[in-house]
Parts: sequence; structure tokens; C-alpha cells
Amino acid sequence: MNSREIYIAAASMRTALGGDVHSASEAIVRGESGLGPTPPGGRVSSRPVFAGLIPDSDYASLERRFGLGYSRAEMLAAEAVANVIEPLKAVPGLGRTGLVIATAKGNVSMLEGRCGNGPFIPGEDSPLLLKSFAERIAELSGFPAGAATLVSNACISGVAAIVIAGRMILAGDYDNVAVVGVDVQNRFIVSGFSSFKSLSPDICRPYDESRCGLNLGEACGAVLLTNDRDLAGQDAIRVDGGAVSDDANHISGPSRTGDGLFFAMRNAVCGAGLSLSEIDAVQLHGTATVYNDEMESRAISLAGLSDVPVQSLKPYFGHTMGASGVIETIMLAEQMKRGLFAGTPGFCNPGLPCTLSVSSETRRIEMKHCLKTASGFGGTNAAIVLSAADTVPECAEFHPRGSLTVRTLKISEGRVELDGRTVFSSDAGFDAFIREAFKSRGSANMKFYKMDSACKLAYVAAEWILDGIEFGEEECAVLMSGRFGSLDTDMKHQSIIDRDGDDYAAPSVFVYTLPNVAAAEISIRHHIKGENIWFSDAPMAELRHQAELASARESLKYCLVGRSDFINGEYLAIFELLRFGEV
Amino acid sequence: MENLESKLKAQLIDALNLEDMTPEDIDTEAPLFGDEGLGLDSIDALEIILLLDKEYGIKLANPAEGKKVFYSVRTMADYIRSTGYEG
Repeated sequence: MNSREIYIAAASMRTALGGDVHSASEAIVRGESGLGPTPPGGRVSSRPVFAGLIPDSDYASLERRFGLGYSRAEMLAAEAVANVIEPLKAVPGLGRTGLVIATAKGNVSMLEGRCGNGPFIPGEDSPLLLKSFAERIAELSGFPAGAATLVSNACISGVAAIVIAGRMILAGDYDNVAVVGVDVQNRFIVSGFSSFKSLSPDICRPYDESRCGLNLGEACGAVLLTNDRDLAGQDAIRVDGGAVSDDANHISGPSRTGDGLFFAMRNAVCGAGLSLSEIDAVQLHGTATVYNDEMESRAISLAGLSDVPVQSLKPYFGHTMGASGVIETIMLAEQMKRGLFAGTPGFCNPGLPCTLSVSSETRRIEMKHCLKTASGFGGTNAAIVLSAADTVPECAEFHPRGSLTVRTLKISEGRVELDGRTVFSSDAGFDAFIREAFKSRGSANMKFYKMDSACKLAYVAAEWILDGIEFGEEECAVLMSGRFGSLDTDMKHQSIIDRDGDDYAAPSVFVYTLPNVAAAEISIRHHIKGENIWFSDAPMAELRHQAELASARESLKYCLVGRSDFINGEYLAIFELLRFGEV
Repeated sequence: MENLESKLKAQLIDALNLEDMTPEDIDTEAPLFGDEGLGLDSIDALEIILLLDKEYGIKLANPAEGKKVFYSVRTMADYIRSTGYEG
């Protein structure tokens, strides 16, 4: 009989440090970085930037394998997934195996040079849609087209995908799940981070007082998670717990207290049946921006882990966004097996409000239980617990609860309908309609006017559906989906840099080029610090199912689930407020 | 040179999507950031850096520098004039 433990059965990755797990794990304990200056006029930026790119020769060999007609991100993901499902090759139809894809920006590179006339509505099968991106990866790697679940939650996408995949296995949806995280670099992303003044001109220095920003990177990593220990092998590392939270502070500025990340770490450890004092090491996000690193030090202090060794792998791979959570988890598992904990290069003198045990040198540590965390735009945080093979699993029971839909809300064709009753209507076009709808609520929140259209739509929906509902800050979650995600604003950002040049990217536009930011705006407004996750094009039934899996955390009372889309003036939002039954 | 202040106010309203505000609503001396004043945030600060670059050819690379410069419309206008701008 299969256990309810989750093992990492296989791993594959391609990064700036090469195309295999072993050589990358050797490199990091030797302190070797894959980062360097990009050539001027290169594919990611007109000016040189310090980044971790995958060599063009790697892409050329992927093209020889998969043929022309697939994007770099798709080929990277298909290669990694094919590698990790290799052990299942002999099983007819791959057995009961799922696929979860994590990406911040998918095929956004394809927008380059195509947005001269502003936003447009792409065709049904356009690879610009994350749903098509997922289908193409699934098919290319041997899965049926509809098999993939895609998560796009900014820079926590990879860790969040592992959390979701783990729940699917615990719930019995699948016996195995391949999780792949991928993002490639391009002018779209580099110009946006540059407009935030968050790129370091040299190698980044996480936690150091002289740190001045991050280095972007591109990478792909995949793991096969399974509940079958025979498949995984006797020395397989387990994923014992995982959690996602939001800090409800600001869409681009992390919490000043570190509470959101602390909640994710605490809940992950609790799910693993452990206490925080049993954690031997923490692999943090460590982007080397001033605010991220400060926030992490506060969260570690709240968790009482100030003396526990921590690391950031960003100086080795760069910030690889949706891939980072997966490749860094793979590296943590390798380090646990070897008892070697890589240093954080560039760290000399701490520049943090709270103590962190960082070292620039590799440390020899016995690691039985470790935390891996990630934090991202939208105030989103995720944490998982990895446990060594020789420890006894003590995971908490997994008890998803049933849910009841207590309210429904629909916005379409100039009408807001709450529980089927029209509560606001206007004949005006979207901009005027949504402004009037917002104003009719009597709110004076000036931030509303700065949001992009997709966020305004979801925000106004939440104004009605959450009206008068009371919950503690950790008692509610927001799970959202849509067909177009942030594509309308992606196109606006691309048209600005195509027209004015990379130096003129607008930070107030770029910050909305992530689909999870709509859930973040709702969370900030309603003080929601439970999880926020954005799934690509998931039907409402799937969102309800995911909400019920999330409800295995006992303190969750409500979940707002919804599909919300705005593109080129067209819009539709459908939300449900779910309440969970007693445990 | 009062019209530089008025011009800046109009540019801020446009660049920062300050809904329903007119230049007359912005106090030249009042703080732009923080809970009082216009309640602007870090993204607004980055947008103001972009505005100075685009409209006045001023490159302010470090957001930390902006703190003093962006205190009020007056301090911004004084800074722009100090760079030799004569609009």
C-alpha cells in the first residue's frame, strides 16, 4: 500500500550552471557562480546586465531534439519533465501521474515587436495564453494535453507548485506528480526590473550591507513527487509539509514585519508534524534587494530561527523567478544528502534589522529537516519542509473539508450581480463602468485608480462579495484563475518598451504584469493573509477542489474563488465565496 | 517661476493617476509621500523618477536620493531649476 508520505523520486534542471543536477550541486559547494555580464545588444537587454543565462548552444541542441516551432521555455520544460518521468516509462499511460507547471511569465517573450497597436485578443490556441503554454509542454513531454495544472504566482510559483502537487497526492488525485518550474529572460522582464531600480550591476550580495539589488536568471527545473517509496528509492528526500500565505502589505513592497513569510514557515512546519526548533537549516529566497532581505530577517526572527544556518542561492543562478523554487529545492535536497550547506557568496557584513546565520563559505551541517522559502510580488510567500530519508515521517493528518458556496458574484456587460440580483449597472464602457461601480461603494481608496483594469475588475467584485463577512487575517484564502491573466497589461508594458526603449518602462505598469497581483490587491484591502494562488484557466469546479485541499489547514474558514478576465476592453468576472465545514 | 510648479502638478496628476484631482488641490509645500499629503508610495516614487527623466532630462539613478527631492512640489521644482532648467 502506498503511504501518505511524499518523496522526491527524480530531479532534472538546466541553468546557467549547466544541464544536470550533479554538476550544479558540485559547483555551488565549491562556490562557483553561473552569473556574468550579458553581451551588449543581446537578447535580454540593449545594455549589458549581470545575469544568469542559459547558453544559446543549449537551446540549439534542444531545437535539434524537439524541432522548430517551440519556444525556449517550452523546450526547457519538456526536457526536464521528460527526464523526471523516465522512471515511469514502463508504466502504461504513466500510471496516475499529474503535471504541475510553474511560471511567472510563460511565453511572454513572444510579445516582442507585436504590441505596436496596444493590446489585442490572441486566438484560441495562441501560445501567449498560459493554457496553451501548458498544453504544449504537456504534449511535448508525453502527457495528454489537458493533464497540466499551471500556477503563476510571481516568484513563489515554483514552491507553490510543489505545495499544490503535494496536496493532490495526499488527496488521492494522483500517485505521482511531475512539477516543473521555468522562466526565460527577455527585454520584457529585464526592462521591468530595471524600472524598479532593483538590478545589481555586479554579482548580487544577499544579506550583505552593500547589497544593491538582484541578478535575473533563466532556468528550468523539474521534480517527480510520488507516494511510492519503492519508486523513489531508499535515500529519497521527503516533502513533509508546505504552505502559502500573503502578507497583505503592498503589491511590490514586502511586509515590514515579516509576518506573511513567518506564517508560511510556521504552517509548513506544522503540516510536517514538527516544531520550528527541529529545523536544521533554511534556504531562503535571498534576492539581495534591500527590502526582501530585511523582511526575511524579520520573519526568521519571528520564527525563532536566528541561529539556524540560512543560505541564498541567487548568487549562483540569479533570480530565476518561476523556476527558482524548483531548482533551489533540488539543490537543497542534494545538499541534505551530502551534509554540505553551500555558502552565500558576497556576504561579508550583515545589513539587516535582525540576525541571520549567513556564511559566504560552505558549512558542514547534518540536515534532517530543512525549510525552503520563497517570496514574491503581491506579498506572496511559500514554504516547504524537506526531510532526510533516515528520519521518521510525522506529517499531520490531511483532512480536506467540504465547502458551501455562501455568496456568488458576477460582473459582465455593465452589470454587477450579487447572488443573482443586480446591485449595480451602467451603460458606460469598462473604464467608466468600473470607476462608477467602485465609487458607488463609497470608498475613498486612491490606490484603486492606480490599478490596471484586471485588478480593478477583481477588486470591485470583492467589494461586494466580501462585504460584511468577518474573518481573522489567516482565516481566508483567495484562489483565482482566468484565461488571459495579466496579458492585457503585459501588452501595454511591451508596447511602451517597443516604442520608447527599455529605459522607459513604467514601473506602475510592470508591477501589474503578474496575474496573482489581483488577488494581492483584494488581500491588501480585506486584510487576508491566508494563501493567494493564481491558476491558469481552471474551471470553477477545479478552483473549489483546490480550495477544499487548502482547507486541510484547520484555521481556514473562508475561501474566495473566482475567474476574472479583462482583455482589450472585454471583461467577465465570476466569484464564489466558500465557507468550510467544521473539522 | 510659479508656472513650473503648476506644470509639475499637472504632470504628477497624469503620471500617478490621481483621480478627480486638479492642480489646485495639490498644496505646493505639502509632503507628497507618507500618510498625509497624497499618500504616494514606492511605485509612485519610481514613476516620478521616470517623469523627471522623460520631461526634464534629469537622471536620478538612486531612489534614496529622491527622498529629499520629492518631499513636495516645491522641492521638486527647486531641484529641477538647480539643474539649469528654464522652462
